Amino acid sequence: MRRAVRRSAWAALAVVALLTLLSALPALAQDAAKEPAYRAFPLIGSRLAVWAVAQLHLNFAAFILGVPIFAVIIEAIGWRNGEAQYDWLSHELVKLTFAAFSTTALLGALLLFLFIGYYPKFWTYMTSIFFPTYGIYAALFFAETFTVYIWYYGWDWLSGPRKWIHVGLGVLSNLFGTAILLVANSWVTFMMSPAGIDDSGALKGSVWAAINNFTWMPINIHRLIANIVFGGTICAAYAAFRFLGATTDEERARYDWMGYIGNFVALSAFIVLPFAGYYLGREIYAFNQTMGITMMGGFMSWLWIIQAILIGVLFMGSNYYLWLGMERIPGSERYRRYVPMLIGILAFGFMVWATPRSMVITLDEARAMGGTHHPLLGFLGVMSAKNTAVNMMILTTFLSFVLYRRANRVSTKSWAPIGMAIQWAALGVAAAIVIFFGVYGYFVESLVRIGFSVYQVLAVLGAIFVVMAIDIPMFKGARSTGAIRWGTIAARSQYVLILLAVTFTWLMGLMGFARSGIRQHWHVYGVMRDNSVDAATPAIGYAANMITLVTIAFFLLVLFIFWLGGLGEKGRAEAHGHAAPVIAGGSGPMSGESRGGRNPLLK
Amino acid sequence: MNLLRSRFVQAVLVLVVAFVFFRFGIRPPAPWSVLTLYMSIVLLAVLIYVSSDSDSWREFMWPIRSTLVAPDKGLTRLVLLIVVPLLLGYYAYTQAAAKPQAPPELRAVHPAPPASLQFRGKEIQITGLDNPLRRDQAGFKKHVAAGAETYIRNCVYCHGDNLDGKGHFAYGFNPPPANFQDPGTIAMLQEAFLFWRIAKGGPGLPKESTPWNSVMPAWEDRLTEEQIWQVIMYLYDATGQQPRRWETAH
Amino acid sequence: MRVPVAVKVGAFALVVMGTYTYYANSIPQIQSKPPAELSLEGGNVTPAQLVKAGEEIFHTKGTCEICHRIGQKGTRAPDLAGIGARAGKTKPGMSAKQYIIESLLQPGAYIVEGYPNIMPQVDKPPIALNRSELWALVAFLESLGGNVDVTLDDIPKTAGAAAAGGAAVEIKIPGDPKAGEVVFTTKGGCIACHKAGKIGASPVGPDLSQIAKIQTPDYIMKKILDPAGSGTVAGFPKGVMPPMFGQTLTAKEYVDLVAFLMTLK
Repeated sequence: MRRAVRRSAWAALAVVALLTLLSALPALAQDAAKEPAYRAFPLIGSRLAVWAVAQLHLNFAAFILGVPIFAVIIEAIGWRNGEAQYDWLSHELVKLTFAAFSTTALLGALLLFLFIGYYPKFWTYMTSIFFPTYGIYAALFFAETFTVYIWYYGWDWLSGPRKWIHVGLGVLSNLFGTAILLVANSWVTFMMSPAGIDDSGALKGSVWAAINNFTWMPINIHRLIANIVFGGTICAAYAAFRFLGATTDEERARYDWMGYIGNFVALSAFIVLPFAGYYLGREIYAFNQTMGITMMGGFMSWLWIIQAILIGVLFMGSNYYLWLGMERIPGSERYRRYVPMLIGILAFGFMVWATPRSMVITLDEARAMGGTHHPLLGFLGVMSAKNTAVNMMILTTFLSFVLYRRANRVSTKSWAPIGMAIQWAALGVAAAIVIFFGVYGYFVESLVRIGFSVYQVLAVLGAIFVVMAIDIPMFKGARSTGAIRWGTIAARSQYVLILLAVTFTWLMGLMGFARSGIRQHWHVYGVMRDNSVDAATPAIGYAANMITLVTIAFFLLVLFIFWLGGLGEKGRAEAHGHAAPVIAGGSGPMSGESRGGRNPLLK
Repeated sequence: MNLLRSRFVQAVLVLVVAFVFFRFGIRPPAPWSVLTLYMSIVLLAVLIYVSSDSDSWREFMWPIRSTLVAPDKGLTRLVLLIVVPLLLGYYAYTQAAAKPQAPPELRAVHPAPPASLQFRGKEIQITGLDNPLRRDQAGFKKHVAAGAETYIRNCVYCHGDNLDGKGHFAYGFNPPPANFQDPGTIAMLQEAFLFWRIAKGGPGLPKESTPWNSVMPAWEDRLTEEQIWQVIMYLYDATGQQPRRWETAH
Repeated sequence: MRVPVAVKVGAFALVVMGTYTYYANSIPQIQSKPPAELSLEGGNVTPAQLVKAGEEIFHTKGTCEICHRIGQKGTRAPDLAGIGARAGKTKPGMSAKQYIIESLLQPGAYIVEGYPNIMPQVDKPPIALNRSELWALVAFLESLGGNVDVTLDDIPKTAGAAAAGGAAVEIKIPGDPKAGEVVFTTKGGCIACHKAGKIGASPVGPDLSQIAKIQTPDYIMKKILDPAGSGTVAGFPKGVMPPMFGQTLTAKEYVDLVAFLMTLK
């Protein structure tokens, strides 16, 4: 562990030194004309090299940015409710982050080398725009690294009454991490939707205009949320992996609980992710209609069907995990009868969402359909139907979660029947609003229809808010029907957690391809053309092969890091004072007490 | 009755009913690609349902397990051992065999228009372009009437006198001409998009829209700019659709 | 035998990813090819393609049409119809392509009679054509009445160096364009003779609406101070523009005015 830390420090220093070296670039830029615009990477070509390294770097960056966010949330919860296992889990997560730190930095440096070496002209141009941000990036990197150091090593030192400082450090390191994300996003989004430059591509005013381009903010939000989901699913997968390999009941209980927490955080963030994605899509249309149509209706249209399938799998999987998890909670039998209804809605929503607008058809089928789009299914292919479907799926998932929450609790409040009636009414009203606007959308013009999605989102968020606002007081001090039997969950549920992690990672790769691919034959859209041999944007199958290979590489690296984490634990965990606590309810079905009432959200 | 209670039979029944519904319940028939997609989702949902609690899962697995291991099911196993590979082989054959029809194609219904186009040597910016004739409110009726005349002289043979894509020649073409009455066509598009499609016709389509599957001529050779805008006005007026407006960039 | 967890989990993950990959490969594949563009530097391009590309540049990036016309006298510069035939005979000892290249890169080297020396170097900002574009443009000009025989090697290696690097160097005029506009309409009195975009309509002097597209700040600054010495645009009477702006305008007003003129694109 120590060695990994030292290595990450070296890597961070190397990156900073590199960035300092880069300050000599403006002088080099004058020689750029003599330099070739491209060099060829041996064997696989420059594009694949950059693709693989960029995707890996992004995966790791998402991991080290996402995991600390929820590590600090969990630490804060543990600090407030005084339960040791939260603190242990948070420490465990930061340890994993730590090991991934150096890999991230190394991959980032590698990516930089690839750009400078193989795309010199492109890199010179980006430097001419973004040079002032390089220094900021380096400074933030320093700040983040050292804050995380203190956060990690100060765990015991800043415990007890000084715990608030420690949690504050965690928050601070996340702020630095997010700031790094924002700076890097400005480069990427500038390539997609350049702003603040004149016709010749030179910077017009301050660099701020180039940073604050059309897609910057939406991508910031989208990536930040997605990072939390990603961190959550990876940690859940880690827990699942350890669960499956566990030899004692105690271990199983601990990792079952950890998987549940990871999945819970991921799911909570995941529910709002479609909204952020929708916002990003809107901004892309606002920036350039052609780009928007290329993305949604042009050569990329099928990518969204694959995306819909992946997201459908994620929704189905997380619900399935919750239902399987209810089995370990005595008293959950009461809610089993809802499962067919929930799964029906999810499956139907999935089908609507995955219905393509541009269908794969033979000529005979086109003939029979009377055109290239189906008169009936064509209705399901447009945004109105898809928004309705995804909002219904979000509501359903939320309902699953609410049922899970109350699985072993019986409210003792006298007003509980009224409360529950209001909750059902809120869900019903939200569903009705979503469906009403979904159907009404077909009768108004497109521009008005786009506005409807806002009402649908508000209805869903409103319902979630109302239900939770009633649920929390209603189940305060509720009667328990039995403790959660941590560790008794069926093994297939752990495979679901792994499925979620794999699917989400793959989805990230796919979305990276979409983001990068809509630029088509441009390095910087509309400004700097891609004249390399790889200017053509590959088809989806080729991209999928590539994404799969990189995802496999990512998981192998992660596995290695987890293995390192396991090594450290074997040797010195006890001495370090972070022995894993015993999870209540873990050693047997009857022992321990329900912790249901203590923390309103997590239990 | 006992049979219907079995989880396994229930699951199979749901799948069969779903398949029958998707295959025969949707008119006109859904393309095969969509059908397989739907069936995969139903299969996934059914599997999740039967395995969502342990009792149900055990019950579901029981017939499978017993077929695989029970000593008295030897004959069934033998039959399955022969039939299943045969079925898989047949499937592989159908996938690999050459068919007397073109392979399925992916056709983007609304491809991305170019940002600008050359109309008889004049550059026209498509992005953000509105129909210039709409500004002339007094002449609205006149333009629509002129558009109608142009339509009847040129377009009616394929797109039909009801604008529903069922003109005289429509049956000779595959895929058929666009149906403007369908709310999924012109109602979803800006007028500038129509201008591009009419001016450049089938040959102007990008590759993802399989230009070789469209016989629409490039009307820029035959119609003037004004005539094309008039026809567009007529299309919207006659079908009662509203063109999509451009979003105002902020 | 017990299968290790890592193997089971790994196989499961592979199956999941394999399913996604299979599905993505099972639908018809569409590549997005870049729009047909000449691989100019590669050299495999037909003269017809080259001429077409050159014509495009002539109309768009080259901004040639602000001054030149084909088949009629331009507002500021000679008619280019038949230039391909004429070019070889204009300057003794110079072939058509050599003459055209020279005119583009060193416009002052030979001045057609009756026209002032106002043409900017087209490989320098603000026009900043690169070598490929110059090549195509020369081919197009040759095609106007002559044979296209230019090759990329004919274009000097040094040409267009300023255009390379993705972004042109922009020269910043430290003046305030808003104040310059006021000078243009009031104290300077420029509006009496010149049109500049929406303001002014007088046809006495050349239209300045797009002056920044074709002229460098150097030329504009010189022209204001020394109108007669900088040449007069063809078709306009010589010596009309007053030479006393150097005395009447303050230094700030002068810089503001140039800054304003540089916004006219």
